[in-house]
Amino acid sequence: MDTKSKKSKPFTAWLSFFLAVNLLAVFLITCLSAVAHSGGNLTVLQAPFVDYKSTIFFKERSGHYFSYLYDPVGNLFADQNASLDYAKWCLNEEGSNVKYYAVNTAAGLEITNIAGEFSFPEAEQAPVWQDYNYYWYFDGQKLQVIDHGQPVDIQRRDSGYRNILPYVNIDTANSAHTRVLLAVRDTLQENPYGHSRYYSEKQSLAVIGWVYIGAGLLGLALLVYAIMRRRDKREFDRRLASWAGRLWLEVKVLLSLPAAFLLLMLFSELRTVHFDLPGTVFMLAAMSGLLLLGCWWFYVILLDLLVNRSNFFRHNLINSLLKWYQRYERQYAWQKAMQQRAYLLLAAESVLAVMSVLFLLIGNVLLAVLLAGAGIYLIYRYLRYYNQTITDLGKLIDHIELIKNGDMNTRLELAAESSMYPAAQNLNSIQAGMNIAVTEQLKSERLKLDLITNVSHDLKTPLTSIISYVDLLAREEGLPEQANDYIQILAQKSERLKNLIQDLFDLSKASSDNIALDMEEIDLARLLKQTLADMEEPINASGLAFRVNIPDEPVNIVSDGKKLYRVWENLITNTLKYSLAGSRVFIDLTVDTQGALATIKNTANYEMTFGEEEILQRFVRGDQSRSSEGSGLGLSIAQSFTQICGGHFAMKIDGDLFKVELRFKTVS
Amino acid sequence: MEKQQILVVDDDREIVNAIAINLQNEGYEVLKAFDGLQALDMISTQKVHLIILDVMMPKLDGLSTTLKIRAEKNLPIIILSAKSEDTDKILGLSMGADDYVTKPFNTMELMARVKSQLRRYLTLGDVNVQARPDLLQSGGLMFDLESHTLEVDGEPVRLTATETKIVELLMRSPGRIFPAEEIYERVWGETAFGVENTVMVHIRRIREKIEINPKEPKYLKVVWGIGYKIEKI
Repeated sequence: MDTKSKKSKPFTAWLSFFLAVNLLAVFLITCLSAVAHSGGNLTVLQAPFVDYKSTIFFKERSGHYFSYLYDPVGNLFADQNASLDYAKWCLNEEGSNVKYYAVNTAAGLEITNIAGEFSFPEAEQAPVWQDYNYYWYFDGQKLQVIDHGQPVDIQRRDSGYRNILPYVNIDTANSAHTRVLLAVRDTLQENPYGHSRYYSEKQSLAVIGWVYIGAGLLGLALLVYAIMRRRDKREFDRRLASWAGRLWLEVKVLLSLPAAFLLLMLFSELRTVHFDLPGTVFMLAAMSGLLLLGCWWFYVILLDLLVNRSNFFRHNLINSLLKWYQRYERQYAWQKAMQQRAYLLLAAESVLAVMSVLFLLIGNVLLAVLLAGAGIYLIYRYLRYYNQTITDLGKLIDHIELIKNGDMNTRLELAAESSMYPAAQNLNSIQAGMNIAVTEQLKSERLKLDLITNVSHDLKTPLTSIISYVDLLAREEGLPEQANDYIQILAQKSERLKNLIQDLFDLSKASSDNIALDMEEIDLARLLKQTLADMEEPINASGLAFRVNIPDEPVNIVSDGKKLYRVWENLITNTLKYSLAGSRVFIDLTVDTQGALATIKNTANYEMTFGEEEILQRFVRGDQSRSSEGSGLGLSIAQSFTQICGGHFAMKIDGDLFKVELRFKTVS
Repeated sequence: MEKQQILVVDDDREIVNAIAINLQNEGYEVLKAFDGLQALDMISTQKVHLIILDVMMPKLDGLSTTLKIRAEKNLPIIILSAKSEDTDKILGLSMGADDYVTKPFNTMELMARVKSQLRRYLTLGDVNVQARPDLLQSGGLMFDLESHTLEVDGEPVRLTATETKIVELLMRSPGRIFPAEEIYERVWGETAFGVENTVMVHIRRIREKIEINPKEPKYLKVVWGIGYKIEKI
């Protein structure tokens, strides 16, 4: 069971990828340099697992030892004694693993570790000491390698010697007096008095082989694991990229330059590795490590580039400075920030220009060009930002227009770094707030309308039964006299209730703006005449003198004729009810520059002890006694209907004079 | 003559009973239903001559019931509703109802409307108006151009000479709005000046003769601030 937290999974996968690549890289680098070193001979890779004496390492070391012996006696270098001492020292370190003999009879030089008298064998099948069956042999004319009595064809490519021969610099023309013999023991042993390189190479080669095999296998296994968990690995790649993304472009460039230099250097170095096991292995590992360090650096840079794309370049020092400045200027009022920005640009440009000229004068052209470039870039950024600010300002203005026109849903989306961003956010908040308010209001209007409709229905249904049964009762014969009187009262009151409910319904609908209007061009003069003619009978019966002054030419207004008729019907009915008996009622219609003005004036038959506002409040009745018929809503309905029909309703009380003024806009 | 059967449909039983008593007093047979589905059942099983139908009912509302009845039958439908808005009336009539009465209703008016619908349905239902070029018709109004007489739902109406001329003028173009001046000039044959009152008085009188409820006229309407018209039905 995997008990690790989710967070560590990407890291585990990435770490295994990292280790796999490192292990395999070290493995491959070592193998490649070994192959390169052996002149492209792939058998070198088998070296740890075969007999040491058949490996290139043994042959090479033997070649080196031979050349140590030959060089001082054969080539006669200037520092001959040092060479002789070095050869003696090197070979004596091997102890009993080698027997050597090098002599120049002409120069009288001789080095050997053979005790007692020794005469150089002149024949090829030279003296064979017991247990020393491998030897290099130079008889003054020809170099021969003899392995267990058999001469080796050292010129063959597969012999493993061809690559070594260039080290063994034999000058055959001047070597007639030189004899060199190097014999190696069959079983190499540790030298208790010195460091046997043969022995330690033989021992370490096997260990190194298994270590490398192990490292390679481990690397492969980790690689397979990393491939299986590639999603997690990629997740960590993204994290790496985001960490790397925080570095400025300038920093990345500065760090990449030495990394690239290091890589180039190491590559050329690895091509010419001198093998001296086991130390070479550690050196190779260290070099591979350095190489990999450089590689991983570029890997991270590449990731950054792939994941962050254009941000890789955008996140630079100049941009960061500009961003920091943008944040800084937010603390000032918008107008001040804009001014400061312009001043700061001027200042920065001046400094850059002066510095650029100075550098030019002292001859540093590159720096001068860089500074001038920075100045031009700053101007470019400023203009771009200025342009964006203007565009966003335009968007803001358009959006305000949009809100004015009632669009409550479209939001204004501006880039977060725009100068207009805070303003746009504020505008969005205002819009959202308005939207909520409007929605709430619509909802409550709708509820109100539903309430009015339902209440009206619920009141009308029982009233229907009451009226119907009262009517049936009224037609019942043989009822006592009083009963008929009572029924009469019931009939009247239920009729009044019916009117009251209808008036309430109309008023509620009108005042909640939920009434359907049929607006068209109508003639107000004609409408007044029609209404008066329609109400001729009650007017004549009232005994009031109507003084009507309506122009003959049409007074065209845009309104709802039916509603306006209700208005006048209510006003005239009101007048008929509350006018002093025998008094005059004046109805006038005039047209002036402000539009049409219709007035109705009458003298009240009671003292009006209330103000204009009060009378319009619902249920305030002219006589306050509430005894007469009607709902008391007549004037309120007249006012509401006038307003929804596009008119203006005004009422004036002056002593006993009651006056209502209606104003409408005329159309030509 | 067999008694005419009237179906009364309303979810309020007391209203159904009150209407039933009134109808029985007038000599009609009454069937009662309390929702739309029940009403449809009764129409399919019994001979019904007229339906009085409420709008807001459970199961199937009055408007849907009207639509279903109209898909099959031509019998008169009077809608009875607490909804008194003009839009509700127009909706009800456009669904195929013949008349629309608002609650609370006047019993006498309802009875008059029942009578007039039945008369029209039973006596004039088969008159092919299209084949009679000498007839002007709008809903239950029928004006004979030969004899200059007007019938409302089959009942002759006595009009004066001037009233007859006004009705003929308006009925020749049903739905058209005539200003008072035009009516005056074409009927009286004189130049019109300050004639609104004169024309209005005549219109009111005609309305009292042809309309069941002159306060809520069905045919002859005042278009406030513009003129007068006979509705095109």
